Amino acid sequence: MVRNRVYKTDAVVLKQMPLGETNRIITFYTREYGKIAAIARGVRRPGSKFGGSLEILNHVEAAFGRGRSLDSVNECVVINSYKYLRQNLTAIAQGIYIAELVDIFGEDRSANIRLFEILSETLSNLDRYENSEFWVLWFEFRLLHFSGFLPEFIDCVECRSPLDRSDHTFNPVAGGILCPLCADSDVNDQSWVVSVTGLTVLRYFQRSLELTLGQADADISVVDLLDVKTFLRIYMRYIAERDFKSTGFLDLIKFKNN
Amino acid sequence: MSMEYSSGAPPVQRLIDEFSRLPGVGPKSAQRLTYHLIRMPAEQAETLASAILSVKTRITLCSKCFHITEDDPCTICSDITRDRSKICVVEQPLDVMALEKTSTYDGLYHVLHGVISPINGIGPDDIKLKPLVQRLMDSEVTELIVATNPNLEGEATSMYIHRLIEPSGIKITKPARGLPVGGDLEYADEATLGRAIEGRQNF
Repeated sequence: MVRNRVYKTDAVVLKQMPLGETNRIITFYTREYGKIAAIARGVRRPGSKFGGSLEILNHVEAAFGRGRSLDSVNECVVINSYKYLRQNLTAIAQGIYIAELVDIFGEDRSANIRLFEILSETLSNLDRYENSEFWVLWFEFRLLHFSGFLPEFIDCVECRSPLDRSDHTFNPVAGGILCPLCADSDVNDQSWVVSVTGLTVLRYFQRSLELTLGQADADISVVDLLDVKTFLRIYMRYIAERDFKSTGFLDLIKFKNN
Repeated sequence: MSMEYSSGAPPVQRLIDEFSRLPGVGPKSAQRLTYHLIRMPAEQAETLASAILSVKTRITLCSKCFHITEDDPCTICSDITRDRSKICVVEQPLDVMALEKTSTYDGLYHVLHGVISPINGIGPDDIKLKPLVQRLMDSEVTELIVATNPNLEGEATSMYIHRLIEPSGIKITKPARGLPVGGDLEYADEATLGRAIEGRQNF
């Protein structure tokens, strides 16, 4: 099959890296091709045709030219620059964090339309800056789901028996929550306990996966979200097998806010 | 597959390798620069070598503003004619040079030597922010101009500085954003044009 030399797609700018005097390598998450890195030539010149269109977190429509090693960005038009997100330091830190997650979990040149959609939807939610903490967690949960890493929270992952309302052991190797009987026989030292509050929100997330949540659904107190945040952060670090670079700044900003 | 360029002599290859380590210089450019140096008169090559050496041995950072300098404090910090009530915060020493070329700013500077870049794991403690706070406490500065680059990381840094300094009551400003001189309105992107309209001024 002959591939077109030029292709066009919706994309979100995840990160940038300087290359030479005036160029940058831009990493995009695209609707049709998954994660793509491409050279934007001359983008650092003041009179560049790209202007501010390739800023991190911009939702753009871009045309790419295929290259031998890296493709190049031929044209780029901004669809949404999330203006209000850019005026709030916490929202910027949250936006960069979800961009880092997509950079880690998104596969090169493998389309995952649902992942693209939750990325742009979460950026729009952060742009409104209401319940931003909730939207980041809801994004993380769905990121795990659409990447195939979502654990089981409703039934015991070992014996499939329904779980009651109490603190439970989470086993990352088995990929879910264990009932007290299975937890007693669990010899995995990587397991940890998830609180009732945390599990309630996680189960709510799991039952809502096929729904579109609105601002009314997101009105959960930040205290109730704390255990979910800790759980998702530890589990994602376990899956990714690395620390996330942007969490240090995100936590610092939140600490200063409080 | 990596490409190798046979130079013919070990010292020549060594110079090519050294040039290749410079930013923006690929193996081909390194080869061109090396052969240019071989053809260069010996005195010119010596002048170049001594200039490189003196940069490394005589240049240091100013203990007040962190600009690169031969003498500490730098010429700008020790110039008594400059307005000491204003400090302009920039990301890199090259930004000081660019602002000095405008001949419109007569205050002092503070060079951060970087920018808060969460995606690269660079936080406030990795740039020269603490010395800025200390400097503001010990001086009679009334205005802080935050001239970080107009991109997401530059904006995040400027907002962080604003948050940090605002309680002190010092006036915090930032350079206007908008259209480049000599540019065409129709080719300006929405973000730039939008900011230009927001920051419009009376005739």
